[in-house]
Amino acid sequence: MDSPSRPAPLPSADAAALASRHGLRKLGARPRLGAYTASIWRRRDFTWELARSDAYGKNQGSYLGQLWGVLKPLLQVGIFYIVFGILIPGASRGVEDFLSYLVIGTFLFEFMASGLNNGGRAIASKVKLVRALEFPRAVLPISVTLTEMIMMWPAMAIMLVIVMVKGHQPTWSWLLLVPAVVLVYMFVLGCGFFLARVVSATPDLGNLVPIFTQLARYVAGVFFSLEVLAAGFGALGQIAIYEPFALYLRLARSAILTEVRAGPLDWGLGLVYSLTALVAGYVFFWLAEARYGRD
Amino acid sequence: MAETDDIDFSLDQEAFAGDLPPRTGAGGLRPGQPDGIGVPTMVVDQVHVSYRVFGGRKLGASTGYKPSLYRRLFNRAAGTVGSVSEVHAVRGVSFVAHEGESIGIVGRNGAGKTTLLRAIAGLMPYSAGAVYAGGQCALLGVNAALLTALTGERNIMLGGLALGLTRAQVRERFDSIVAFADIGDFVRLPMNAYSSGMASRLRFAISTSKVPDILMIDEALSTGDAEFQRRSRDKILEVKDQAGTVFLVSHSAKAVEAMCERALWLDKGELVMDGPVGEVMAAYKAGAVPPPRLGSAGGAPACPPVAGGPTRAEAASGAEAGGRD
Repeated sequence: MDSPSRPAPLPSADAAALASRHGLRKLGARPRLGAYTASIWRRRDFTWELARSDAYGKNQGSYLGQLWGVLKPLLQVGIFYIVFGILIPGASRGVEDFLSYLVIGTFLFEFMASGLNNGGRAIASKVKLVRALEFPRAVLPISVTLTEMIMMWPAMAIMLVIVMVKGHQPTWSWLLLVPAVVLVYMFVLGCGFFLARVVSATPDLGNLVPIFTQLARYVAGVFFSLEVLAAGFGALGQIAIYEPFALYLRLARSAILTEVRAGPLDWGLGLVYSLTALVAGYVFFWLAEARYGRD
Repeated sequence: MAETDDIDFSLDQEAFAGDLPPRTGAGGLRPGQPDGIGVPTMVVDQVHVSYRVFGGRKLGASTGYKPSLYRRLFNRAAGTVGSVSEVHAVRGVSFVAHEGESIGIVGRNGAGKTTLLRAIAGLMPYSAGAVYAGGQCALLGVNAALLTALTGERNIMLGGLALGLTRAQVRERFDSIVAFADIGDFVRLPMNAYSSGMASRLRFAISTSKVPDILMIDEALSTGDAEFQRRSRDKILEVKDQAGTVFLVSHSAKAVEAMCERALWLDKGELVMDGPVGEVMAAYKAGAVPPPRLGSAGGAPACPPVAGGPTRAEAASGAEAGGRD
């Protein structure tokens, strides 16, 4: 065998037997769901650090630095206010305090939109990391969504300040904002899991996600009262009122604004949407665990 | 895979001026006698790796023939819309690695060395075959995890956590990482303020802060002063001594001869020779590729990109078939 001839491969059965005799595990095999979940938990520090670093890195490299995290959504609100509050006065029909309504809607919706857009690219944009280090790949969608969450906090604080300046007194009901945001986070993360797998297999779909969120932005009632508008659309209007984006906006607004009401049906449906998205998305992502990084 | 820029330290020939004590018994480790010396740490069985490339043209399509304008326009569109090529980079490689072995992987550019290394490290899914490994495999290099907008300090934490260390472990090793990288107070500045030498020293220091059971080194060309070359050689040897098994991908014959006692020679994705480093390197330098063995499963035709290699469906079933562990 020392002559320059090609080495004979070991028969596969022998290779497997040899491996099991010495306690070697097969690489590239998908772990069980429970073990997988545990391995994600063990990597929680990495997940958090990655999220924090990405959030910090995103606004680095400009004179105003981290201030942009607040300025960008504020400017967005400014544009919507000019267009839908002033230029098209009919849009704010049926809303008493349009600015507060708009601020809450915009900030929360932009979190959902960028969560979906970036969640979809979670694997595709970090494929180098996937090919360089071993870790449960679900860490990436989780960390991307956490990044969005971290970047949302200052905007949330500004949002509450604006609402208070507009004369809304803090009450206990404001605490309902916390479960509303948690539901939104779960929903966005679940969709992120789903999109991350789909986009990593078919990168073309990554271009469709922003189009979809654009559509959602216009029909979810970010800058107009969906309840008023949907009245003229029958069944379609009812669907629009209870689709996830519109529902989450209603939950968040009902916590702060007395003019918006959300009943037990709304909260229950929100919980169902969030849990379904999270569980289904997670399992769907896990099923392809052994395949990420090939493309 | 043109992604060797991930790791930008190099094993320079100069660094190997000192001779290493040869390990004993290395020559007898062959797939044919797997239970020879040392306990197997990795069994690689008929591994194939293929990956998709978007937007390229099919290789081998370039001929001297000049098409008409219409055809050129049409083909140009066809080259950028819906053009997917499957690159079959590794074709049926098998070998057994043992404790205490260091194995060099040599071959020409594009022979599939880096792809093979990533596949056996568990980082790139293989499309057919199996890789069995004991303990943790790690590819030396954390570049992909680091963010140049962040300070050295935060990158040390991020890189350490990425390697699987705990926060406490990173803090414990912080001073030695900074000392090894020799960057002093620069550790408090963003990494994009570093010179390329400082950045590469820090990356190297971070990536060697955790010692895996199976260490994989993918060398790319880079700069680095002689002092750092020497220290990185020492570090690799230290890691190698603890790691059990080391794989080294290199273009430099000297680096492989100095670091390894066994070599695998890859050509066009196939393993053409496996044996003691002296013999393999002599044959490699002579440049004569041994003829394919009869009945070898890796004996695919010699055109590199095969659209109809193992298909996605096959690949998927290959990856999911072993749904244990």
